[in-house]
Order: sequence, then C-alpha cells, then structure tokens
Amino acid sequence: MDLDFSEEQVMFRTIARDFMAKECPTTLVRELEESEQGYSPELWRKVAELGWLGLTFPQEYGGSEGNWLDMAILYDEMGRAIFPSPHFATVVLGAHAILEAGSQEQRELLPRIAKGELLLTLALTEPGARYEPAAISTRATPQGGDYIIEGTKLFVPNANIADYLVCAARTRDGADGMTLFLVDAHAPGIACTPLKTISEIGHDKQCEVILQGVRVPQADILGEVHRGWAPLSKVMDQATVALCAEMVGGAQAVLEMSVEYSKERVAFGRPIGSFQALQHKMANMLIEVDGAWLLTYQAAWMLSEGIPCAKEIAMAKAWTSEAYRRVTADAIQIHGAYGFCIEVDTTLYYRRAKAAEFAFGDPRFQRRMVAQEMGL
Amino acid sequence: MRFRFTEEQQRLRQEIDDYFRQEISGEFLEWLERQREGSIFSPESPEFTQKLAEKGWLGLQYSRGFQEGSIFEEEVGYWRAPVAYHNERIVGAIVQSVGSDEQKEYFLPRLASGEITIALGYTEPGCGSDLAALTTRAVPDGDEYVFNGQKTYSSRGTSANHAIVAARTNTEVPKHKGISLFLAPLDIPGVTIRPLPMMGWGADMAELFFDDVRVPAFNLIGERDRGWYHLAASLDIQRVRIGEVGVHRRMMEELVEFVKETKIDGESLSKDPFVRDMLAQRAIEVEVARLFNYRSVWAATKGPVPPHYTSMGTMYLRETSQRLAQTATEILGLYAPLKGSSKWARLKGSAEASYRAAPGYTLAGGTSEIQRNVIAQRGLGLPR
Repeated sequence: MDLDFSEEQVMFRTIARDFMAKECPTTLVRELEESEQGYSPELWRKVAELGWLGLTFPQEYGGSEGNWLDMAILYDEMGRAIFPSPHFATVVLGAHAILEAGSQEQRELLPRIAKGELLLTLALTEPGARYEPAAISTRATPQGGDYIIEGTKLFVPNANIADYLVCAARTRDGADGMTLFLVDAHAPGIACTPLKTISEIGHDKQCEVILQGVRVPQADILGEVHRGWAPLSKVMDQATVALCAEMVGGAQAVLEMSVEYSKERVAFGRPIGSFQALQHKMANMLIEVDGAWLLTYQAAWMLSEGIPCAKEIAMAKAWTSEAYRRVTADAIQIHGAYGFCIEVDTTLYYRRAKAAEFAFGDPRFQRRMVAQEMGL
Repeated sequence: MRFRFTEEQQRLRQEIDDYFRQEISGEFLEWLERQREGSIFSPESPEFTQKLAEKGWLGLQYSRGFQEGSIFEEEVGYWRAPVAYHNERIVGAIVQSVGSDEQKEYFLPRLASGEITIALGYTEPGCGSDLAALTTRAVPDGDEYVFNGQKTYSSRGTSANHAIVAARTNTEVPKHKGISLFLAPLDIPGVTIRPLPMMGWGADMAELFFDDVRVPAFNLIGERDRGWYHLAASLDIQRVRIGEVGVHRRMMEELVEFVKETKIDGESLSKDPFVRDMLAQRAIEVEVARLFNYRSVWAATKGPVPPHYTSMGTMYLRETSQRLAQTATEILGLYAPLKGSSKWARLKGSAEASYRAAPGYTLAGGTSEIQRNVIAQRGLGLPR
C-alpha cells in the first residue's frame, strides 16, 4: 500500500496545475462556452507542445508512453480548472480507439493527433441513450467493397469540430454485431447539429450526428467486423476513469472554494465557517471528495498495471458522479445567493457535474455493473 | 503509488486466512456461534489467543510493521475470530512510542503473547466526548500512585486483566495538561468492576471503580501530565478500524450468498433490481470505508497519521455499518427480527444482532459529531 505519487508524477501535476492557472482563467472558460467551436486553437497548440495529446501514445507515434495514472493526474488538473478542450473526445475516445483496434496504417494518424493537427470523436450513443450494444441501431451495410452507414448518433462530444468520427455501427444483429468505422467527419451524408445543454464547456458540448448513406471504404474499418464492442469496452473503461479524475479535480476545487469563502465571510459577527452546521456539511463534502479520489486513483492504478478492474471502475464512476453533483450543490448552498450568481464559478461546476453524471454510465447503470461483478 | 499489498504481505494474509478457515470450523465454530448469541462480537477464547500468539501474529505490528498488524486484524474481523486484539494493538502502540525501555521489555511481549489483555479506562460519567474533563485522581505516594474515581463505558472491562487508565495527576493546570496514562492491573485491591451491558454489544462493557487503588509508578506510561497528548496520538491509531473492515467484507459476502439462494415466487432474490442496487451501493460504501482505513494504515507507516484521516475512516465506516445493518433487515423482511436461536432465523440472526448493535457504532471511540468536528477543523482548517 503506497498512496504517494512518484516524484515525476508530482512534478507533472505541478506543471499541469501551473499551466491551467496561468492559461485558463474562468473568464476564458465562459467565453469559449459561448463560442461555436468551444475551444481555443492557440491553447490546443500549447497543450500539444507540452506533449499532453500524445501523453499515453507509444513513442513511435509521437507519444511519451505515459500510463492511465498520468492521464488521471492530467484530468484531475483539467477538471480543477474546468479546462475546455477537445482532449477527451480526441485523445481518450478517438485516439485510444485507434490504439485499441486500429491497423498499422490507421495508427499513422496518431502522430498528427499528438501534434494537434487532427480532432476526433466517438460517435457511439443514439436516441436510445445507453452505453450498451442493444441501444445501437445505426446500420452499416456492405455495398461493393464499401459500407453504407445509416443512422442517428446523439450526445456525440465535440462532433462539430471533429475531423474524424469513430463510429459504432451494427453490421449484424446481436451483441457481437458491432463494427467500428473511422469516418471522415465531412463525408457526404453527414449532418452535424450542436445540442443546447446544461453545460457546453469543452467536451460537454454535444451534437446530433445524422448519417445518411455515408459511404465508408472497407479499409476504414477499425479492428474486426462484428467485433467492435470489445475494443470499445476498453475505450469506455479508460474514458470513465479519465472522466472520474476530471470530476475529482472539479469537486476538490469547489470544496476548497467553499472552505476559503466560509473562513472569510462574516455573519452574526463570526466567520460562517465556524458554525457547526456548515462545518459538518463541509466534513461530508471531504468524505465525498476523498472517497472519489481513492476510488478513482485505485481504478487508474489498476488500469495502468493491467489488473482487471471492471468493478473498481464502476464503483468509482457511481460514487464520483454522485459526489461531484452533491458537492457542487453544497458549494452553492455554502456561498449563499452569491454562489448562485451566473458570474460566480460555483455555477460552472454545478452545471458540469450534471453533464458528467450521465456521461459513460450514470450511477444506477454503474451499480448494475457492480452488482454483476459481485456475482449477483 | 500502489493500491495493493506486496507479495510478501499477500502471502501473510493467505497464511492467516488459511489458518482461520481451518481452525474456525466444525464444533469450535458451533461453540463460538452459541457463545455469540445475541451479540455481533465474538467472545474471547484464551486457548485460541494462545495459539495465535505462538504463531507470532499478535506481535506482528512490532515484528513486521503496522501494515502487517492491520492485515492480521482485518482477517480476525473477517473470521470473527475469538481473540482479544484491537485494544492490545492500541496500547502496544502507546507503549512502543512513549514507554521506557523497561516498560517495552515488560509489556510488549506480554501483549503479544495474550498474557495481558486490555480494557479502556478513558471516559467517565461526566465526560462523554469531553474526555479532558475527567476527574479520576492519581496521587503519588512513594513509588506508587493512589487512584480514586470512576471510569465508565470501559470496553472489555469485564474480561480484561489490565486497563489503560487516564487519570488526573495535576489539578493546578488547565484540564488538558494535568492528565497521565497508566497501564494498571485490574486484579488488585480497591478495583470494583460493574458490568454495563450495551444493546447488542454483549456483556463485556463495564464501569470501573477505583477506591484507594495503589498502582506502581512503573505503570505510568509516558510522561507524567502529558497523558492527554499521548492519548490524542493513540486515538488516531485507535480509530484505524481495520478489524471492522473485515467484519463488513464478511457480512457483504453473506448477504450476496443469501439473496442468490433465496427464491421468491420461484425467482432468485438476487434478480430483484432494488436488491441489486442496494447491495451494490453498500458494496461501494464498504470499499470506500476500506480505502479510508487503509489510507490511515499507510499514513501510519510514514509518521503521525493526520487526525482527520482516522476520523473519516471511523465515522464513514460506522455510518456504513448502520446502513448495512438496515439493508440486511430490509432484505430479510419479516425474518429480520428473529434471533439466532430461532429455528426460523436467517443468516443466524445476524441482521437482528447487528441492527440492535448499530446505534453504538457512531458513539464508541468518538461520536460522529465529534469526528465531523475533527474533519472540519483539523482536516479543512475551519475556525473553531
């Protein structure tokens, strides 16, 4: 048992935290949320230069061979600063789908992703709104040496700026009938419409993607025909851990904001942080946040070590989603009406927490996974 | 970073686990279960304790380290082994950190061999959570101290042969600065022990009365008048509740088995979405409680444990215990209130026993309210 980060990891975290503090004030977060693209190409270039796009790629593809613990540290810091970027969609979803399932040739895209030249996303969910094979009805039908994809993808993160979609489509009925395609996001027949949602910060910006008669050459199948769910599951596991780490950082940030505020804000002649009602609320918040931290880093560590961890990941997502939601709501309560003002950052985290709660499996879904893993 | 034990530690756990599996079985297990009737706690078996002492396991925290001692304690909890251990661990840690060489030489082997067993003599009728308000006096007289006063809620007061007693040695100074710690034998003149049974906690809780009790000065542990500070440091360790983590792991497993085996209208109870959701949630909470407590164990191997770590570990674990007890009763329904002695009892009556014991979980060793104060003030730095 050793819960310390290595020296390198501590250094990496410091660099990430300093970068975010300097480059990503929440005024910028608000500005970018209002923008159509939702991210800053200039910041994206800087992040690429720091090597954070290829963080987990093999060296031969322009990466630095980091593991999921490193990725968790980065997401922790991005969550703390609410860093709005297409990192999650491009790297964690898109690039890692290519790493899991892609051919040698397809992997040639990775160095360009690492350099920040290409944006990707994963077109998985549909109006069925679940992360399960049964909820996928988009079809890919063979025609001449190509496939024709027909269907509607919904809740696709950052699709409006993506160059490629990793698209999950059904090539036959049944659980194992899923195939992954690498689709040019600007191919004829694709219509992308951004959705208006509670949070449009970074990868919270989602789209409807309608595919009508989209022709994809056979060479652009990622992995094996009908066998797309297995690599997809791995990508979803990894994405869930990254998302948890991002929530942990956000939850930690709002707890710190609440503590600081309650030490300074005086009412009835005392700092409100000296009132037991608030102290106990914040003690509960620390339980939520530290529980989320431990479960998330345990899952990240296990992923890094290659230890099977389906149960631990599901536990982390179930707990962390609820923790983040409750902690952001508590933070507003502690700040009072001030914390409810749109211009105060508590509202940014509050909105983000609700978006994250449902991404990659809500707590009920995750508890179903936990029950299954418990042998129930 | 490493969320698992070393291979050597895992081998140790396996060895302990195999031993308990083999020894706590058959007639011995039946005897234990009869003894336990009505309580969630196992009775102590001096013979069994002796066997464990011979294996060197009671002294693991001195011979191998705090993590190894914790592994043993978790297995004791999991197997509900009839051995005195938790109090001995706490007192051992105090003696190890502030005792003289002679005291270490005398007490540590006896704690590790099971010869000395420990009751906690901390709180008093007027104290509760305000422990420093204690009034039991210890007045020096030659090379002895003379004790007068009363302790209450003394865990294992009826069965242990020694008590760790916090007594006032100086009345001229602020209340925290005049307390000393003694490791006093209980089989000496002037000590009266009155059992104080608690709901569902068996009969080993007691009141201890000291009436001109003479305790050798040798038994003063640490510095005179510095007892409060020694105690505060040990409370941090006392609140590492690894044994209870094992108890929960076992209870979760038994509930999972129970719902798998139980059929309602031909359908296994484990298929009920409500039951699945509830058990999954409890499993997550038990996992968080486990991680909180092992975080404290890990911290203890590096230096003083931050007080809020152990407060979080204890408080969250104990509140989880209460929810788990409630969950067990919800799953058993009408069968839940049946005591273990009934032929109709399910899960040997453990739902009834743990539900009855549950209110005490968030009182013993610091109430949840006190723990939250510690978390807020020491963990988050909020003003008093």
